[in-house]
Amino acid sequence: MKQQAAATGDYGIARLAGRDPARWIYPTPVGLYVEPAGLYIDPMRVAERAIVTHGHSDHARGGHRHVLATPETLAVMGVRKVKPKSGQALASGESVTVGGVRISLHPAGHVLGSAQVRLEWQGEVVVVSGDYKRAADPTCAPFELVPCHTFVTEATFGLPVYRHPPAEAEIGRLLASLTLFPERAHLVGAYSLGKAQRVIRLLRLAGHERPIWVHQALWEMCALYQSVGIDLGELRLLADARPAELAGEVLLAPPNASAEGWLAALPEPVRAVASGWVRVRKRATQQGAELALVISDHADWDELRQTIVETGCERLWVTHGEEAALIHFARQRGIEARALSLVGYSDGEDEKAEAGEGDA
Amino acid sequence: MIAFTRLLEALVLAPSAEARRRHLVAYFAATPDPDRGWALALLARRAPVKPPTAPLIRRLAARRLDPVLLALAHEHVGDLAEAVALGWERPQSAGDDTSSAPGLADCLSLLADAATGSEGQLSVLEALLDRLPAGARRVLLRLGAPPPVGVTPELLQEALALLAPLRSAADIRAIWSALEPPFVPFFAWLEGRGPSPAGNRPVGLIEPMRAAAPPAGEAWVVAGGYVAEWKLAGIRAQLRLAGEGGAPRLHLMSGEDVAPRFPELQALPLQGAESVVEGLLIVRTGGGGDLAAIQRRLARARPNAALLAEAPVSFVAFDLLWQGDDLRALPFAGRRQRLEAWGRALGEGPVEIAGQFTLPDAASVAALRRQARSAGHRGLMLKHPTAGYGSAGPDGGPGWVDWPHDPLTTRLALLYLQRDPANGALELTFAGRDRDGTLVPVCRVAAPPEKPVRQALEAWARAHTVEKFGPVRSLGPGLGGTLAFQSAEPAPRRRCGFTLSEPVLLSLDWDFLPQAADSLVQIGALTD
Ligand SMILES: [Zn+2]
Ligand SMILES: [Zn+2]
Repeated sequence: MKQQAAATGDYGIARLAGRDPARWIYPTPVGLYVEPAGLYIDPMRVAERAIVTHGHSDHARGGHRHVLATPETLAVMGVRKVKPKSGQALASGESVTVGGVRISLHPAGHVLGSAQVRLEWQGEVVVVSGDYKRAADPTCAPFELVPCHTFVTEATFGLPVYRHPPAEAEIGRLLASLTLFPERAHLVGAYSLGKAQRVIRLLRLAGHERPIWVHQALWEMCALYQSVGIDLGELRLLADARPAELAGEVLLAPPNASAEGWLAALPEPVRAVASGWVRVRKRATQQGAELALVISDHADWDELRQTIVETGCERLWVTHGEEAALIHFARQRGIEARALSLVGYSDGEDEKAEAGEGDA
Repeated sequence: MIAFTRLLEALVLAPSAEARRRHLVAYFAATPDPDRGWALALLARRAPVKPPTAPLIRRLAARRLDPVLLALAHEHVGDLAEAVALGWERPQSAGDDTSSAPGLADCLSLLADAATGSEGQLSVLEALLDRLPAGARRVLLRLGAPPPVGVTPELLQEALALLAPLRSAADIRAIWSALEPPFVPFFAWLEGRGPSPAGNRPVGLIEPMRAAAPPAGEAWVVAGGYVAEWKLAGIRAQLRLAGEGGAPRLHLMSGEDVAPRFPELQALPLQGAESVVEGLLIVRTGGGGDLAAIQRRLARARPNAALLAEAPVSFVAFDLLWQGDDLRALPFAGRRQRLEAWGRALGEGPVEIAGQFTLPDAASVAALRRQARSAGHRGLMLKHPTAGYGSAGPDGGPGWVDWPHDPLTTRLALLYLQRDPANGALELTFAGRDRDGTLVPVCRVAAPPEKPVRQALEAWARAHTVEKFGPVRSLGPGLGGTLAFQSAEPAPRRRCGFTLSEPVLLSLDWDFLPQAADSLVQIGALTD
């Protein structure tokens, strides 16, 4: 095929107005299917061949036979006990060609190992972002902008009310609370992959040198982060603690761990929650937390818009989250946009997983 | 504005008064004048600012926001002001740097200076929204709205007392209502850097005298040499009349000045010297006072003519604390004399002087107590003629004694048992007999807290359930109880015709015949 328009960016993107990649990549009940390559991206059900963008449970299911992912994501899947029967590591920037589709992975800035998937077939470029963010995160590689014809984005925080403040400032509020309530343990509810390690690393960067007590469910994931050179400082297992030694210390546990017995022994802990949702007052008060830290591993409204524009995409597909506002925005910019749920993507299941695991 | 935003966000989520106090102290300690004073004014609802109205916010939004996005945001957030604040589109140049954000005092003065008329307000709000981060924008669009739950004047006073150990909460309460935002001289006084902002005059609430509980028995009454006043069903307050003009002030025991709510007291003829009189605000119904009516009056900042006619207020004065000078050290008899003279000079009107009774013997004491009950008063206040205002009594020396009625008792049959599925609380509904002998619900009380009693009650209820309506079991005969209560207030809408005030379960009777339940007529007659 002849391309007349000027190439842009590092990938030689050319205008392909009018060609809908739904001919070769489309949603199915199993997940987004890349037909010429015969593989799914982040399949929700067991698949023969899959690309996994990152290790969160709604993206990395167990039981697949063959998985292509970054080496860090394969390691995360190992820790989460969802190791595939065979895993093929693909480092960032390297590519493989399967069934004529050139596949490469590029950092998404979401959690350790998270990647966007760039797919190129017959001159058409589709980027599936997985979950991503643009804000700096000292625990993972920064988001890389990948120009494309079709951009497949998440929209977890796809509403103008969600604008995340700098995470460092939120960590400052946690430290201020430790000063104000030096006799109370500070229990931070944070998702075990990504959020917890980011909070710990930010605390360290802010000069907090005390040991940090982590729940059993976070322990191995923290160890994995440490093993790839992310310095989390001295961590101690919460189960080993005597309640008295937790006064004035930072504790981390998954958001749903609060009902457990050891917690009842803590005298009046300051419960903190770290999530992008708590920006909205109603959501913050519903958490039952005393300290609502607006820290998210997902792009906020400004980052979503910025990214859509910067990819130079002609088409926008929205996988999951708050799609309506983002689609409205894209259409105003002359980008053809639609929610993938319209073409059969099982969005409900994905949302449930996100909500349940607090991956926000 | 950033610091005030953080304070408000902390106060909204703080789980206890202790946590709220600590946040307040930290804020007042770290924030310079006049910002902290304006924050105090907003939290105490003393700042002359009102939150923007919904139409104004819509017009503000129309200047900057895409209507489709605003509608989606509003639907998601559920609150228009919050949706506009969080969803505000700042100019590209606005970064996350908060150091250049305007302070609270700056925001308030810009809003106050804005040209009257909504265009001026809109332009000021628009410019401020551009300069503030998301959380502070939300605060800006709610400036003047009620403070977070649990932030009361009392809590603020306690926090301010903790800020500097020089002044107690009572010291602060005493001058509270005389203060004007942004309270700069007040903070200076608080921190020992300046004189009292009140000067040497009575301002605000004078620390109220406390009454002691009555000793056991009755012999002490006559022997003690007390005089008695009715304990009226009203709200205690201090009325201050300024010497050389100026509006009267009316302070509740919280320190709040509620004078504007009582136009009746605004038109009193002015007396020579500045005076502070203590008494009770009451709405008279026959002999006693109507507490519900006085609460209605207190709830209304500006009563309309209908309410004034329906619930006219009297101020029943019982003590004179200041008259040109501090009188609190005088014995009560001396203050009372001056009070009576003060009252005579005032003449007829909404201010009355409380009646006083001597107690020569036990029979007159008993008669007076009966009379207090039947007149609808809440009991007697005994006062020692030699006591200065503020002295302890009765064991710590002469003072006041608060002597409520002995509770009344009644025997009733248990009719329903209800278990709150949320917290497991057990509630018992007791009934009396109407003319036909039918059991009619009279009151609901909490079951005794002891676990074995509760288990026995539940077991008995399971065995004697006649019908079940959700968590409520209707029970067969056999269980009754003796209940104490203060009075039976007429309640024409209730089937039994009255409401028992402060009912308490004294004992359960496990072989109770329904015929043994008191009749409704009997119970109603107890307080007639
Ligand atoms: Zn994720
Ligand atoms: Zn996700």
